[in-house]
Amino acid sequence: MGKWGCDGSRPAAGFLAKPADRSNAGRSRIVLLCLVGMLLSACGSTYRQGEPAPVVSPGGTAAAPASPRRVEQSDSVEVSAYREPQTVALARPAPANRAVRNLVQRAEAQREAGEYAAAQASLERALRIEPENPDLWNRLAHLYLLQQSFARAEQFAAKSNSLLQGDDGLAADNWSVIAQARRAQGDAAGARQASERARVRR
Amino acid sequence: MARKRPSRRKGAHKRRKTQQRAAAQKKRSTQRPAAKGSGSSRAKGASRAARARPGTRAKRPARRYGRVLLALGMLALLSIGGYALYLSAEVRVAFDGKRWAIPARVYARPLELYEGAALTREQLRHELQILGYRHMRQPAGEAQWGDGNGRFVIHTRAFRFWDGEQPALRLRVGLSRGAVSSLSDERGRALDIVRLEPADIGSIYPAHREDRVLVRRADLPDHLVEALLAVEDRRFFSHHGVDPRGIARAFWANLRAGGVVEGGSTLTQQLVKNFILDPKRSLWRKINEALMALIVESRYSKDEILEAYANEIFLGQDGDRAIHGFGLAANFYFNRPLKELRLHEAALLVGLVKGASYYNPRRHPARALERRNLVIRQMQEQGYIAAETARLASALPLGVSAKGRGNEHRYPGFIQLVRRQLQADYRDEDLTSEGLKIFTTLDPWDQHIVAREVGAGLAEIEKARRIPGSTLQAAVVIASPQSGEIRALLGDRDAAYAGFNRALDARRPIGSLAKVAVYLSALAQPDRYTLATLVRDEPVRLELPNGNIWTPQNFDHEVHGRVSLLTALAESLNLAAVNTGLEIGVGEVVDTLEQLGAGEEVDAYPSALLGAFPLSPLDVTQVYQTVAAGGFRAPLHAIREVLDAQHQALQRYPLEVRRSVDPAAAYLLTTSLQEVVRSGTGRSLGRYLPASAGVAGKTGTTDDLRDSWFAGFGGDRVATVWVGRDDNKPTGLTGSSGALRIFGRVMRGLDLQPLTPLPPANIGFQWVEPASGLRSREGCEGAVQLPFVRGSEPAQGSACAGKDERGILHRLFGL
Repeated sequence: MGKWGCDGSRPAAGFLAKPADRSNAGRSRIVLLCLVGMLLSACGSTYRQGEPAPVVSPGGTAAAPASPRRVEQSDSVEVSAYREPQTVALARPAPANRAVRNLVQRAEAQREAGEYAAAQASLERALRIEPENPDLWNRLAHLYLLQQSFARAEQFAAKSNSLLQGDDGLAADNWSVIAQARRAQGDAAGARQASERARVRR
Repeated sequence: MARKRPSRRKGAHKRRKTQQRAAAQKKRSTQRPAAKGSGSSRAKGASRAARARPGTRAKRPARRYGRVLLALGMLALLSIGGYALYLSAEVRVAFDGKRWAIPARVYARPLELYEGAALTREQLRHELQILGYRHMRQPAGEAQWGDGNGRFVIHTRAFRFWDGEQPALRLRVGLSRGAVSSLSDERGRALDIVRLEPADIGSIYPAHREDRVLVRRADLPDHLVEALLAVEDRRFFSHHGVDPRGIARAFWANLRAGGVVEGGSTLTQQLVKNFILDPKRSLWRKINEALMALIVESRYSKDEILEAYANEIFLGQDGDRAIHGFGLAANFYFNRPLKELRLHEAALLVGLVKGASYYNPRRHPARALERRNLVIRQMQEQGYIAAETARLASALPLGVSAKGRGNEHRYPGFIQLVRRQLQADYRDEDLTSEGLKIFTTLDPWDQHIVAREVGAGLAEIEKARRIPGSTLQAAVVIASPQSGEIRALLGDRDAAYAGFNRALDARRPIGSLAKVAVYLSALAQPDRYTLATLVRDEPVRLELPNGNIWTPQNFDHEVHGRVSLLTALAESLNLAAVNTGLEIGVGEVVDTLEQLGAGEEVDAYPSALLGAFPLSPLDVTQVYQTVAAGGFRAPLHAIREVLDAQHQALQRYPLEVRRSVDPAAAYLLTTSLQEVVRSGTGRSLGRYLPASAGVAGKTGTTDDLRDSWFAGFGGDRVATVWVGRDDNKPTGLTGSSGALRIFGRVMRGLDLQPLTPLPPANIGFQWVEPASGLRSREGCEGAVQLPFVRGSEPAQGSACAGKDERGILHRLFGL
């Protein structure tokens, strides 16, 4: 494993964590740090131990913005406001399709509010519009990772990879998700393999 | 939760018809104030007792007589009081414990509107029609729409989606060239994405039972309540459960008319009768009914009684489904929510109270019209509406939904699937009584086209091939390739037939459809098999474990020698498939089938290589979905979310994917399946779809032409079609002369998106000479460019050297 490797046992040097991450670090274990992407070259993922993975978020029903008016408000959410960034560094071009863009923003806001089921549903809506958009599959993979639904996270990241054409940043990120998921499932060898592929892609 | 009420079956409407007659006859008994009277007589008795005590002792016999009387009176009081208590308890049990069985309502997918969404005018009109929106020149209120200059104006209803409420919106939707070109609100502000409410496509009610859509008092339109009072119970808001004046009036009216024209039974009495009492007609029951009506009135408010009545009343019979309450009746007769009904529509429903069968507007429109206008007249006479309003309303046609059966019976096959998938997670009684809301994946437009094309296609095939009419049967499943969402499902050539569902339950041998598993297994071993590998189309003679000798044949009964794997699949050569499958191992092929999602375990006999095992069309669709999604199986599913009656999310069925077969092998297989349609056994699909669609598919035919299959996919849909006969007799149809035609018709109707499979990173392209399987180069005669897993390209070069003529097939695979 190189110095940019995704090994949960040691936070890698050069990790560009946001302040919010650091504050989280005390009570939450940093499982994996990955450096990917073209611009910031860093992605960090955290999850709280023992946090439940709700299939249905109870609060989601009322709070989910369903009307177009509410959606406009979510446009103003800034990246810096996120408390639990997952894919900080991955440079993602904004979706070209405005409906998909809207749903992705909505999903981000929902994820930030902890409404994971609602965020998933928004991304699934986006996937119905663009079923072969690897970015959307990758976002779902991250959501599952966040909820410790590791088998799903791995499958969705693999699906994202299968739809990629030459986006090494996203490929590396998918491999890092796979590595995290495998490690969490006790597949250390598989995790190392995936980490290696993430490293190569970077 | 147990419902303590007599289940009313088909005879219910009959009883109701007799109800008015009975009401007129029972007036004498009900006029006696019974329950209320018991209180006052008790007071009288007490005062008499008080008086008796200080009385003189002179009149002994009289006093003794008085004592006996007193004792008897006490006894009578006790028993009357006890009986009143008993009735009161009965009422409490029936009303307080009342939970209507509300069948789960099933919704289609919501139509998503956004710029660029594929949508034709015809499709949007269809959607608005099944939503029950009214077409108006100038849409003004909710659930109305208009169109002109290529633009639709749609005023939506507010709707509670599982993830929140969407308020009523006023949309402007521009359509051009089969897609949404603009989407904005009434002020012209562009909207990113809006979903229309999902269409209500049916309910899950128990067999031979009642169906209803619960309404609240506040949902009852004023004119409905007014009509109800005008016709059924004028003094509802002033009487105490029994209306002596109403009874007298009814008696007088009936006497004058020489027959039963009016009933004197109050709404409360009618309700009591429906709720509690058994349907036997007797004086005793009449007395009880009146007593209980009084008790009900003392315990519950008028609004509560009205609400209960509005949900309980029987308003029609629909096959084995009893239509209860105004909420469902509005759906059933007008395909609209109750609150959107106009005066004449509400009046019709109220008219049905007297006899839903006798005044059935679909069967007896003249009677129904007369009855409706009587209701309107009475409303006017009692001052609820102006004469002009009454005149205008009476002039309107019945307006009962044209199809006659609404959405309820359009999608029985799909609803069966929904029910089956729900049964894995919910108890039957929850589905049929808890008022769940089920949001599904059904695309009504896909379903509409399937129903239309299967009907027309089968009729056409029968005619062209001189097959007796209506002997062929068919089943169709359409799903979204990447998500596994089922968009449409047809289990019978008659889309409205709710019986045997062939898409789910007709398990038939799949024939050559199984070859995808053979070649997928082969292509997953790129060091042994590529598309250019020559496979042996040579005679096979196998002794089976049971001693039989198996000698499969090609369809043309010829032997083609060594052919490329690509050609072997494109031409569906049986001997090549068997030889290849035997080389790989039948067990391996069967494993692949399971990975692909074939529901049942398939026995690993060599005949499995030719599909001599049964699968349902749904199972086949799962197999081809996995291929279509590049090796990622997404379990086919019909449900997205389930909400409880209070709109709380109970369950979400999230998207699932599982990498099941090697994506590179799936890609190679997909390109071969495109070759099947381009040049092989599926080439007649070109009559329906342009070559640019790049459809991938496979025909399947079973022994003696009993089953005709086609399974295939384009960019946005994967589908399976089966055509055959229920008695399993030969149809004379191959996969391409039967099922393929239906597939072609359906996909043409649906504007299938082109398929452009994405080569995985480990796939490269190489020119080869198909006849020899040797490496070639661009320009060599007959050279084709094929995809290979990198490193598996043929090493040996062909004789073609130095020449630079372009082969005529050089554009294969669009390259």
